[in-house]
Amino acid sequence: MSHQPRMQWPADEPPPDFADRMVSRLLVVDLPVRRPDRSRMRWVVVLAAAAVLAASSAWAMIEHARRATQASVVPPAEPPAAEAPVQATPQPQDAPALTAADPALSSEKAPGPALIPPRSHPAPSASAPAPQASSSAKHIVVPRCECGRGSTMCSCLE
Amino acid sequence: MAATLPIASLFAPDVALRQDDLDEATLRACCRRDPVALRRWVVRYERVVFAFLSRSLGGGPQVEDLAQEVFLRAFQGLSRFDPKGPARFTTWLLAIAAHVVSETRRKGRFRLEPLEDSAHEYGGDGPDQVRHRNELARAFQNAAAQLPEEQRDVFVLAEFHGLTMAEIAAVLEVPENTVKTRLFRAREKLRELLAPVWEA
Repeated sequence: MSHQPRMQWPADEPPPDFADRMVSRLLVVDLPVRRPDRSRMRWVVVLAAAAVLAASSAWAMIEHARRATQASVVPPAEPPAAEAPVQATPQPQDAPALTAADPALSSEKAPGPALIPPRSHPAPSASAPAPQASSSAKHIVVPRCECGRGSTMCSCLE
Repeated sequence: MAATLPIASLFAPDVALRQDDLDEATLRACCRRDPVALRRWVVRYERVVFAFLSRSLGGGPQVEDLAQEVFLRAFQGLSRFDPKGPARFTTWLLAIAAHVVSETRRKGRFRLEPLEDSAHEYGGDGPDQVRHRNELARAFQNAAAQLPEEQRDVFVLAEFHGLTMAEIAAVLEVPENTVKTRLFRAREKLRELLAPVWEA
């Protein structure tokens, strides 16, 4: 073949009046006007979203701290009851023999074995520490929280 | 031999698609809605737009509607085009056309179909040459219709519109290496599809 054959991929040709019709359409089309308040609106939306986010974060942190405080603080112990005067436990040998005929005793106590010595407690000495009122008060068992420190959905203490 | 088929040299260069861009003064006059400038602008680029749209989506009356859409979008964004910038106006306009093509494909409105036997008869010197040329043209169009869309776009922009790899990458918004790969694969597939016709 003497010359290289050229393949052709025919494309559509524009109609003869396409340019005139296009120009007449372009002359009446409205160009988009860039409104300045649109960017302002965008900033307002961004700031509002940021404020909401900050407020919700602050509320969540405060709430979390409040719950943590509630869980860790033991309620104050009740004031110890008026301390009863310490009475020396009468020694068995010093105590008078109680008999069922004792009218004072028979009127107050139910009949039964009369000679039941009271349980002997060691006499409290001055040097011995007094029993702590809080130890005898209500003991609160705080459940162990297995949640993470930063978790906001901890429901262990509710 | 299929390997010797010179695909890149098979196409008649479309000189009308490779003219220089309009000057800056005309483009500014277009922004001011000067009718004369607008007409020069449309006349200058209408063939470019029609050629790209019809080769990418297939010909038909829909191409004119899409071409109007391309010119409309280009006119609305004309004030943002910088004539002193790195991009040519043709590249910028083809990028808009590529967007329109992409949207149209997404909507599934058009599909490039292989041509019928009676379509696009070409004249020539002798009856044998005419017949041979028609066979080649028909075979090429059918082969081009079998290309994947992204490869066909790259091939059209490179072979018919004379865009560089960087310009095609800018038009299609893909990396330059992707453009090279797609163009290579498009040529390989065309070479494979056209080998029987070429050898005959």
